Amino acid sequence: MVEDFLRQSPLSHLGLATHARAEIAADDGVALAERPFRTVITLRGPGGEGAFASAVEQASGLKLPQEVGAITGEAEGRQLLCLGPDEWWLCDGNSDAESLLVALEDELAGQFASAVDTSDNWFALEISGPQATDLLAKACPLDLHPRSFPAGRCARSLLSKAPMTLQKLDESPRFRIHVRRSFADYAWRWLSDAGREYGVSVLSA
Amino acid sequence: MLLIDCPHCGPRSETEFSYGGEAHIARPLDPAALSDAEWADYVFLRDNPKGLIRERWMHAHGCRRWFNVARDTVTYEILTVYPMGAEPPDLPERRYP
Amino acid sequence: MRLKRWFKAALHRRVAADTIQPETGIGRCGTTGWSEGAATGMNKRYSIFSLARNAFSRHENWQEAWRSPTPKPRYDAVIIGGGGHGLATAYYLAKQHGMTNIAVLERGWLGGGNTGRNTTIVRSNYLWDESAALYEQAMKLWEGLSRELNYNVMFSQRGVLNLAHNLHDLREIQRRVNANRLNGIDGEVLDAQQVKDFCPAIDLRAGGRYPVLGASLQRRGGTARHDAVAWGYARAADALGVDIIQECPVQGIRVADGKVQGVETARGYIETNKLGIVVAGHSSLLAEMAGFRLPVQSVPLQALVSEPVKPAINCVVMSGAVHAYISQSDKGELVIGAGVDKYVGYGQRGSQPVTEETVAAICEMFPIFRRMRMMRQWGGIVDVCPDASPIISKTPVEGIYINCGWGTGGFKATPGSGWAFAHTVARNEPHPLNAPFTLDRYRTGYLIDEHGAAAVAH
Ligand SMILES: Cc1cc2nc3c(=O)[nH]c(=O)nc-3n(C[C@H](O)[C@H](O)[C@H](O)COP(=O)(O)OP(=O)(O)OC[C@H]3O[C@@H](n4cnc5c(N)ncnc54)[C@H](O)[C@@H]3O)c2cc1C
Ligand SMILES: [Zn+2]
Repeated sequence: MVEDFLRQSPLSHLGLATHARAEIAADDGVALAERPFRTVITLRGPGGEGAFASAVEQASGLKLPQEVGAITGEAEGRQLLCLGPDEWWLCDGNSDAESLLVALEDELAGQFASAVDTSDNWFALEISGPQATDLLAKACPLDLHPRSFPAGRCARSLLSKAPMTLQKLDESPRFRIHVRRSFADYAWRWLSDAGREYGVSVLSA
Repeated sequence: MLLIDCPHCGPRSETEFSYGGEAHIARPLDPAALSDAEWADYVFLRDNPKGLIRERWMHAHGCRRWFNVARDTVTYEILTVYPMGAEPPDLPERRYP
Repeated sequence: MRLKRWFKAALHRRVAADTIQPETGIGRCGTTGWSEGAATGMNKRYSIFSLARNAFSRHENWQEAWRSPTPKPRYDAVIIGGGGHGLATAYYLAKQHGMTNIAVLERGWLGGGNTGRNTTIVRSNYLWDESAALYEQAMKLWEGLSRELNYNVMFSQRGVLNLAHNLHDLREIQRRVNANRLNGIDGEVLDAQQVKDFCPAIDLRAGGRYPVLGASLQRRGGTARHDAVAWGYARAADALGVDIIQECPVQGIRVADGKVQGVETARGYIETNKLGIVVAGHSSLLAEMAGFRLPVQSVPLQALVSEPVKPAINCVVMSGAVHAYISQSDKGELVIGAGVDKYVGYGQRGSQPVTEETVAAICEMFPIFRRMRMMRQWGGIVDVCPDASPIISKTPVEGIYINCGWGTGGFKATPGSGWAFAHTVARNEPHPLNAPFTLDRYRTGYLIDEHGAAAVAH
């Protein structure tokens, strides 16, 4: 684990802080914000209400969602995302991965399951604003209409060819996207460029 | 463009999937016992029907699971989706000249 | 007045609107009404004099380019498939091997398959010796083809660039150019500035994401007019006595004691002891009729053309990395080729995401084309072999020969393919040029792997 003071956002070369604002500008349609250091722990194990589910619940304090695309927990706090029939992400904005991992390993001891800290593999950003859905629709083949992708859902898909994990945080709307760290620059520039017609505000990290 | 009904994620664009070709090909249990011709047939010969095909797909940019699809290679209609390892469903044969 | 005359001529030639494919605009150039017993060898040569002569009769008395005979009950050889390869095979059978009692059976109209749907790139800079020899033989035939056939196939050696976007590409290009030169095939490695000089329309930075670092150039490469190739071979074969029969799908193949007996067609049974199958995307179906299987998969490959503009791009540009290729037709349309759909399909259209990707790639390489409008998009069903090389071979059935597996890149080979296949059919043994391209190679392991080895597989 890299010391906090050594960590750098993969977008640090863009100098985003120089023009970041607290809120979206009045005439802009979308706002982008980087969320560079989120915790992601990849969990693999059997679905269903068995020992795996209760072990994860013990360690994380969250119920294991059973349907692919479902999320438990709070958008700003700790979350469990169901990404496949036997695959989950445990995400957290603040707490450090190591203590979570230790707790999970304790609870999962002896089970045919795995918990791996993949935080440094990922980079998160958020898209919000009245035209956030329009912008995202340019990049991704999902049906993003609130009817089929409401707040509180997640999906893995493509962001203009780059693999991404997408969550809808609220109906304002606000989306959170995880792409691989090496795609951070690509994803950011792609969205900034595609959002030009709506006007893009950069929000502080 | 195909809209493929992933058994776990629902209907998704073909761009999210990888193609696995003909389904239900059993790997020979004892490859060393095969003749060159038999091995070549196993490696290279695939059905190429103009009509009903049973094929494998993987939701690479989604749930990352393999599954089977029965599809019409002319109309591109997806007739049914079924799990890996399951017997091929009984469907009326479709053939075009 | 002019319109009326044109209309009459159109009726005469039966280029009726309902026979024009909505997607491709590929029209039928069939002929009917040419009397059945018409003697062969009557084709008048095209020349400046015949042009002048026919001007006096307002070009209304041009002879039909080929007859439309009723099939005979028996032929010495039957070729299934009236694409470029099948027609070229028939031509060389008649011309080189003296077999004139032969027929070409086509289910639709001549060139209505991949021949009339392709992006017409011709080059011979393949990596391996076996392919290089075969494609170079085709190139040599291209160089004299219009004269040989007395038909302008509009072969234009404007040069083909294969772009390198990274160091690996550059090394591959150097390797291929060296291999080509050792095989006596022209090739050059260009650096970025030389690419720009040769093709000024290109953006070397290509959007910054796929910068152009260099390219290989085959100056003898270029394009040809696809339909003209089918029509030219058809007319020349017809003149030698070959029966070309359109709208005649083969529906069954009779085999007895491991030998071919004849074919069932929509126009009756035709007996023959030599049967050449040259049907591209439908190869598996015909093989099945004859009782054997092929290691090919049929997938749609698509192309699109833009509105016509003044000359803007003077050569053919191909890029394996972004997977797109482009040239400009004599009509002024940009001709753009894409990649294949990733799944087996017989729909002659091609998938939308592939179109999108291709257009994006073209816009990166040529920002000046960003505002061009696309006019038509279509697909052809290409038969792809596991090693991306063709099969020109005898088969398990005596008297049946197969020529298939050209996949995304057989147009350039049309003359060479027909030439070698005619030899194989006539002599019942392959010519040394196509001897390596057997059906058997998947069992012997002697694969000729041209996957990407020759840049884009087209
Ligand atoms: C979009 C596209 C772009 C391409 N670009 C290039 C390129 O730039 N350069 C290049 O070298 N190659 C290119 N190719 C590949 C090239 O077009 C083919 O390899 C070549 O044209 C094949 O010629 P053919 O005569 O074998 O097949 P076809 O022209 O397809 O002819 C086969 C014929 O068989 C007929 N047939 C089928 N079944 C039956 C039956 N049962 N009875 C009777 N007849 C039957 C069909 O109707 C068809 O007319 C491209 C292909 C496509 C689709
Ligand atoms: Zn899925």
